[in-house]
Amino acid sequence: MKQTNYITSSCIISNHTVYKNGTVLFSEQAATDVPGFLNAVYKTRDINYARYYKMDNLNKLGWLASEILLSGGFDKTKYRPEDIGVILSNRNSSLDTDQRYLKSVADGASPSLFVYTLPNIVTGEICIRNHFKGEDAFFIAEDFDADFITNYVGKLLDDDVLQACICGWVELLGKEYKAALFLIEKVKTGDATLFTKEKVTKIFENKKPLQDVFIAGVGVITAMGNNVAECLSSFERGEAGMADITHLDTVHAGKLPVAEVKMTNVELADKNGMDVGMSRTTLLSLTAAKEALKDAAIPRIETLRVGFVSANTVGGMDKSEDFFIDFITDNSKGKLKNVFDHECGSMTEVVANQLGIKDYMTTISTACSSSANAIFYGARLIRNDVVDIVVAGGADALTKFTLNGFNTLMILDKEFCKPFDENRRGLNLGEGAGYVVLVSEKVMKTLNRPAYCKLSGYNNSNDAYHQTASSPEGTGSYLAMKGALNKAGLTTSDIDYINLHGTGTPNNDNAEGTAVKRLFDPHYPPMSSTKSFTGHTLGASGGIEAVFSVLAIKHGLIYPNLRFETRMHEFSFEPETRFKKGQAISHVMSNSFGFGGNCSSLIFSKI
Amino acid sequence: MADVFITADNILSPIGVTTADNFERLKAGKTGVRKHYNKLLADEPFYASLFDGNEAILKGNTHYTKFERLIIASITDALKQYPCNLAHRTALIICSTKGNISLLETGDNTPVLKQRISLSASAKLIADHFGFTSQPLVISNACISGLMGIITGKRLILSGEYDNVVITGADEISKFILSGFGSFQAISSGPCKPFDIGRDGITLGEGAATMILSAHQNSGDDVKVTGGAVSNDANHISAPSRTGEELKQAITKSLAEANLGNTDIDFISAHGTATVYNDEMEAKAITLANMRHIPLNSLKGYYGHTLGAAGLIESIIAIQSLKQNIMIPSLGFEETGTTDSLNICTELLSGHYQNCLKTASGFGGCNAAVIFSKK
Repeated sequence: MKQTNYITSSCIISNHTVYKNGTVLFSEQAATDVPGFLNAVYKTRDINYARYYKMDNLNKLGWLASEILLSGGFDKTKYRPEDIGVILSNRNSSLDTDQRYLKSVADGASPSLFVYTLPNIVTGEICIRNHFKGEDAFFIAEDFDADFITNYVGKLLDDDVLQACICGWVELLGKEYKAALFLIEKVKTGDATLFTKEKVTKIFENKKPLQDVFIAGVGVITAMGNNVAECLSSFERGEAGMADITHLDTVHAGKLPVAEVKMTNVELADKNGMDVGMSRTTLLSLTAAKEALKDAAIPRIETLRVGFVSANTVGGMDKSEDFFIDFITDNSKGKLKNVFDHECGSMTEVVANQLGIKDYMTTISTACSSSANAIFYGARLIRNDVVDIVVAGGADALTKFTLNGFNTLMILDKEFCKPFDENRRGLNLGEGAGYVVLVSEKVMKTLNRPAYCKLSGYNNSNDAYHQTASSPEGTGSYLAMKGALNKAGLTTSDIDYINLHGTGTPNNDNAEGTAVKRLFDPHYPPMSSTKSFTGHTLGASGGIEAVFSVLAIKHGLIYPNLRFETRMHEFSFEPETRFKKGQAISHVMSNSFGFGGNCSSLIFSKI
Repeated sequence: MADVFITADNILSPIGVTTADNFERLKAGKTGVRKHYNKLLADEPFYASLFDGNEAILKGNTHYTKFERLIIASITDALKQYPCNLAHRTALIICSTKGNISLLETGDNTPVLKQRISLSASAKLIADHFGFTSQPLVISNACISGLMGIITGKRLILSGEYDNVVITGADEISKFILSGFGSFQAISSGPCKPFDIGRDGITLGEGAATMILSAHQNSGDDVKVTGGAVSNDANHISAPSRTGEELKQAITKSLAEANLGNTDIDFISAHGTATVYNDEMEAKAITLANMRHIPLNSLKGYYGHTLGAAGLIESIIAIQSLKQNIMIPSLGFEETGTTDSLNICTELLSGHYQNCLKTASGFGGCNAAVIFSKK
């Protein structure tokens, strides 16, 4: 019968550090050698066990691990001695002592060393110390085999050969060593975890907590401003970026309001020293990314590994549309140079090249959550030590393609949008770019001024409901927000402001609101949709709103949700309508949800 | 519970190269133990059961070590009797205490050598030689390694994950091992005398053995593994229990698993190393289990103590005894030398044998017991 067994305790000893149940218990980096470290661990145990000094290093290691494993809570009197077993494994058997023993042979072989030339003496020492008389075994394997150990020990418990078992890995050869012991019992105690291959592997790997990721710089361009300062000023004045269409050549001009960046392509190209033939997406991307890098002002950046993770959804569609005007009349016509950087990845390549970023580059395109995903992907690159710095975010230019597309979906508001209002009718499209400069802790410490904040949580979950509609339960949004909180180790009461996805469509705001209600009810933090200023900038929105979230922490801001009048009947909360300064803001959640059910939440936290 | 059959076996020892060879020669009273003068192994002459080095299987220029060649030859013979599909639901278990440790005596102590010495390196070579596709298991549990292999193999079959388990074991007698037991003053001055009043230590031996356990019968007279258990003395790392209580526990548990009582056991193949303490402890355990009247032998007088292979070699002889209804006498025994007297078999016995008990104990305080039964 397969039953449920639990890991009721674990102990890892490696890298001169002792971990009990995942927490560092003792660390002695100053220890000069392995025996010195083991003796230092022994001294922390505050016991006098004469046998310890007779043991070889492998036995000392295994024995100490077992002492720590069984300390603090394990009541062996619950079991008969013959019901507790010890099943261990390692790679090099007793080779460490075998070598020592063989050296002793020339001067008269040492019996006290010879006895330790069997690996299973480790299980014997543990049995002697604890009076365990159940089955003991020692397996040799090249690597720790979590699958075998969980199956084998699980079966011993299931078949009542044993009622409790210490199992794991005790390896030591010269300077290399590792002990990983698990106490397995049939009864759940305290913070016990399930005895599964996955849990055992995770505990065994004992990866050090991934490093924090800090935000060192921000850059943004939207319809409400061409840089960070202009955007902040528009927030304060409550001036939205929406207006009649002026740059885009479209039949919808004068009928559908959009949030266009005020600069023309020529102005953008001039500002960046670029060819005006570039896609507007590239020009917007370069403008904001440059501002972010300049803002970060990272000392000696040329000596560091830098990555560029950029998102967009339309790529160079604006230029392809120009190409098609001639091409559609005669397929031998059309300027091919207009489509050379059509694909999304081209934007990233051109901008990375301009920024001089060579170490890592990739493009993410997951609809309206694209640049939120770019930021958290960038964070993972740093956390896993792939690079030191990542410029992450996204850009999208307004195009006929997107405007017509959203128009056919009938989710565009012919007036300025009213996110989270009972009478909202849809979204306004916008354009722009937003980037944050993510840096490792090591880089953060070299900055000439404090970093803005850190990225403490992130999650991506799928709504698994519909291609272009959100589920009534807000499943994906709920999972993303909850997952980000878990990642950050925060609870809902820690969140001081939510930058909502809040597109202003009936469907999004209903689903997102439901998810917020499920997670936060009855205590709602201040929240707003800054899309009421910027319009929905699609692939850029996650990056732009990340910049606003970072600034909210830095300056203690809460942004207003413009044009809100009537609370949605489904909810007991409503968005903030006033611009607030000097707020105590420690944690900001930023939501970005996209077609395809792709839902992401980021959490930024004060340092 | 489902049955686990022993469908093939091999003993490769200085006495013979097949199970049949070995059993015939034991019946004839032939022993592998003799006096050796070999300065490469020990400064003084010593008694042991060793390959003389002229065996065909130990010759030839291959990249396998002696330890690996012994195992490969032993498995090859067993697979001839029961050719199972090694790429499908067939496990390999290798039992050894020291494997390739002799390489450390002669080779330069480099990382490459350390890798070559490791038992998992041997296991991989052996598995690849035959084409086993499952990850081989290596058991290094001192002198109970062989029995532990049988117990583990049986569990793998009963888990339903495997149809066949090839269990093999070997140890080579090297300077490392001889000097070690010598340092313990544990080596006998003459051929060892298990359970005898004049016993004064072990005689070492080398050999390999293989047993194939299967979920399905190979031939009508296949013997089954019906029980097996392991215990620890929790007393001393190199001296056995003072009471024998823990070995008795293992015996009791294995009888219970086999659904047998102590009176169902027709004979006992003991560990009987011929050290003063081991044999005394075993006698106590067998007495505690109410089995002292049952005919008992130790085969160490023929094979010496073959360490990681001992449990397998001695089990295979016990299985032959069940099949042929002939019990091999305990060589070297003349007069009771344990506090509790046992029924030591001193001449070829015949009877109607159904079930037998095999025991072993080792450094680290480990004990194992296995029950073999005819259907």
